[in-house]
Amino acid sequence: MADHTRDPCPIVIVNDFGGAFSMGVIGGTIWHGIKGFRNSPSGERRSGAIAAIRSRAPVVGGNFGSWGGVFSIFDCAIKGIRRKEDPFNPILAGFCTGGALAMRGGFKHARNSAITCGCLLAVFEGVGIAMSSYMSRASKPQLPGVEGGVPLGA
Amino acid sequence: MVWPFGSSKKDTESSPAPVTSNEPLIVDRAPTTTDSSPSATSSSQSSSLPELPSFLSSESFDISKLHPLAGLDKGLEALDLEDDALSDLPGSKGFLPSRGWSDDLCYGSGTMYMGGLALGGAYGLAEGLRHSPASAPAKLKLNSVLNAVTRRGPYLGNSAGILAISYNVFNGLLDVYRSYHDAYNSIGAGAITGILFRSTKGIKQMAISGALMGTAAGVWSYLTSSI
Repeated sequence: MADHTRDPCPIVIVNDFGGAFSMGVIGGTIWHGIKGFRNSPSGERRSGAIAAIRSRAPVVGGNFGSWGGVFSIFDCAIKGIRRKEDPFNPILAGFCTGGALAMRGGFKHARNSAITCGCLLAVFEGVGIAMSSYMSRASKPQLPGVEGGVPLGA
Repeated sequence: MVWPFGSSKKDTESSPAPVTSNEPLIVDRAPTTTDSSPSATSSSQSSSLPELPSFLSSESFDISKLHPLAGLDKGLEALDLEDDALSDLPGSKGFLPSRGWSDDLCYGSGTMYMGGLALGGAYGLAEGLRHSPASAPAKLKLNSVLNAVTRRGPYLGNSAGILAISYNVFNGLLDVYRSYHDAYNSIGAGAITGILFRSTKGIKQMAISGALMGTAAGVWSYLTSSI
């Protein structure tokens, strides 16, 4: 039942943070590269793109990274408190992350952000469970000799 | 083996007296056997005194007659862990074990970002305390310290993290291109990262930065492979 593809709990925070940061940097590079390219005058598109990447992509990376890091911290904490591993852990962790990262904007903003993040992670977990049950349908163990046969004792 | 009460001559001579005194002794002497009645009633019969069953004595446990694949003559072989059976991934024997480029990428950039954040935060703390006048109230000092920390910390963290990402991506690409994992890939990846990092500042800066990062990458790969 335990997920053995992820590393054990304290060190996985570094892994999640680094992975999210990398995703944010690479995605931000592409996004702001295209945006800076398109929003620059005709002779300066390349330098405009590079300038946009240099100023914006690290910020996107930092945002993604801190989201991933805080999510992983809450996930590990909830796993430690509940002593169980099931899909509710990431949903609760997403709820706490959304709230924690938006806390500077006031209670209402934090509450809305928390609910949004929780629902987003519930969707992710639901998709994950659906995919894994779809994959495991092919390897369900079959009872031998039952197809169309007479049951014993009948 | 000779049973002390088992010789027939002495038993028949002294049977009336020791029977009454032997009974509790015999019962006490065989607490584990189930058939205690013959032992209580027949003190004169030496062969029916309780003995260990024959399959428990060690002569019948002949290792060579058992199944040959049981391997019992080699001792407890299952506890021998050979070193090369533990893992044959190429990254598992170094100082920092890793399962491949994704582990390197995530842990490397995460560690470098957090290190840069800590260093930049410490520098910002010192700078904030230095720039605020000595007689300022605590709230003002805290404000200037926080300003400096949030300016220096994430900047250094971001830069360090991006360098780590770039180094790991190029290291992985060079590994795939050369189909080989050694220190030259590290040095090459470090040099390319350094050149890219200063690519907007001119050729000379690019060369210096590339050389510095290549050396740092070489030192790092030497340290991690030799410890």
